[in-house]
Amino acid sequence: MRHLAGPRQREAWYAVDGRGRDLGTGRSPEGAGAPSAAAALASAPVVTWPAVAASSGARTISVAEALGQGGGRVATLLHRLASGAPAPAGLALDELARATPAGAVDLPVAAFGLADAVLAAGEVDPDWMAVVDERRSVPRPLLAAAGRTTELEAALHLAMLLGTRPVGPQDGDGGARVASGARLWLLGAGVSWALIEDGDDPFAAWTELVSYGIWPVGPTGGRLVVCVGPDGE
Amino acid sequence: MTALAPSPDDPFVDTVATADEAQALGSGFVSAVGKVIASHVRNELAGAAVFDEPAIALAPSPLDKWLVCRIAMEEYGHHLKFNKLALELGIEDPLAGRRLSVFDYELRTWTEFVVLKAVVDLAEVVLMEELVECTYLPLRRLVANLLPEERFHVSFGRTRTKDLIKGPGRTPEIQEAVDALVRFTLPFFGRSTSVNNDLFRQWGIKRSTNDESRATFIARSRDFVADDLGLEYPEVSATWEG
Repeated sequence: MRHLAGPRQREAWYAVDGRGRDLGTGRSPEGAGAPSAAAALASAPVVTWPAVAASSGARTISVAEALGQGGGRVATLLHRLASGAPAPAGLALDELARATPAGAVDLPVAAFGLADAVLAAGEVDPDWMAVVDERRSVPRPLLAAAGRTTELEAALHLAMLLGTRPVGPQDGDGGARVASGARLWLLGAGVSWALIEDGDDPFAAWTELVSYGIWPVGPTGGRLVVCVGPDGE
Repeated sequence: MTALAPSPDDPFVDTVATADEAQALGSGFVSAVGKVIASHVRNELAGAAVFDEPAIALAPSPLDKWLVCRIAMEEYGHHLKFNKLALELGIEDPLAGRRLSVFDYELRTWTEFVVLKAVVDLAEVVLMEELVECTYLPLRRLVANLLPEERFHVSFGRTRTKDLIKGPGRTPEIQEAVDALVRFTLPFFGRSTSVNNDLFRQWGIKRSTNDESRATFIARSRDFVADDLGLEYPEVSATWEG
């Protein structure tokens, strides 16, 4: 690693892969670096997994450590996203789906393919949606007040990079983009709540579904619709 | 590789395959292509942060909210991909320059957002299409990969605007957004007299002058505004001196 910090220089941080290569360049880290491990992870232009943060002082720390409180939960989520692992056979889909971010919804669960799910999504209960939206915004000010904005940005950045899959040109009506956007919308909330380690995290169940590529859509037409299949397609 | 004293009228026409080749060609080429890449690094980020992310809250339906989430991530992804190119080329701080003035537009409504996607993102498409045959191959490949997403954003804006204008009494609001956004977008292409544009054409990064690109944007956005929406296109000029 070049440009090692001298005794009176601040420690510079870089986001690197498992072999110590800069995620942005694929080379040994160089240049000014970032002021913290979280800041380095938040500015990585690409992510391979597992990513780590390395310093000019020869320290190396994991993503979980760099994110601090709740970092372990986020790292587990990121690992699932990166591996693209399918849901385990015993996943309690119905139970998890009914534990919606706006509270328990006691409706029959309907598993749809992408086209039907997108159609159903157009009729999602707006009152339910408003509650979900409101709860999405809870963690950010709490994390900001705790001086953890950089850790939040790093967690969101990594989750978005690992959770955004390419959408092909055949997506003329935007259905695959709707599913992808919905998953990212939920993922952002799930990561934020994970960082505050609240035992009553309202997004916990749905974040687990999203981490397995499932898109829980919401209550619509007297059913609780879930889009199943690869990337919710 | 022939690289001696190119000029805008007799430009460099070879191709440059890698960052190392760019460095070997000299600081003139690196500076020219670096400025174009850094501009995209800044402006893709600004677009995602100033327009797309706030629009998630403005979206009138769950479907639009989720679609805009995806669009915001695509724009953010473009920023990251240009940033990777900048890092490979050794540009220290591509975010250091000023973002374009179009990002000073104060987005207030969903109507403004969808008109913005139809108009402002079209300007980005025009600029990217200009780079599809640029001499720096990593940049050429990147824009070829990103253009389908940018075109989708324009298409999204056009479709939603056409849907909105069918509603009763919506025409004045949309006309107002068109008038404002077309004018805000024109400086996007740079001044009519531009040392930077001369440099870009000298090194084969671009082929059109700023005014030629601006004229292309005016023609294409006029087609949408006048023909598809049936609205008045604002009186504007293809020249701009700042």
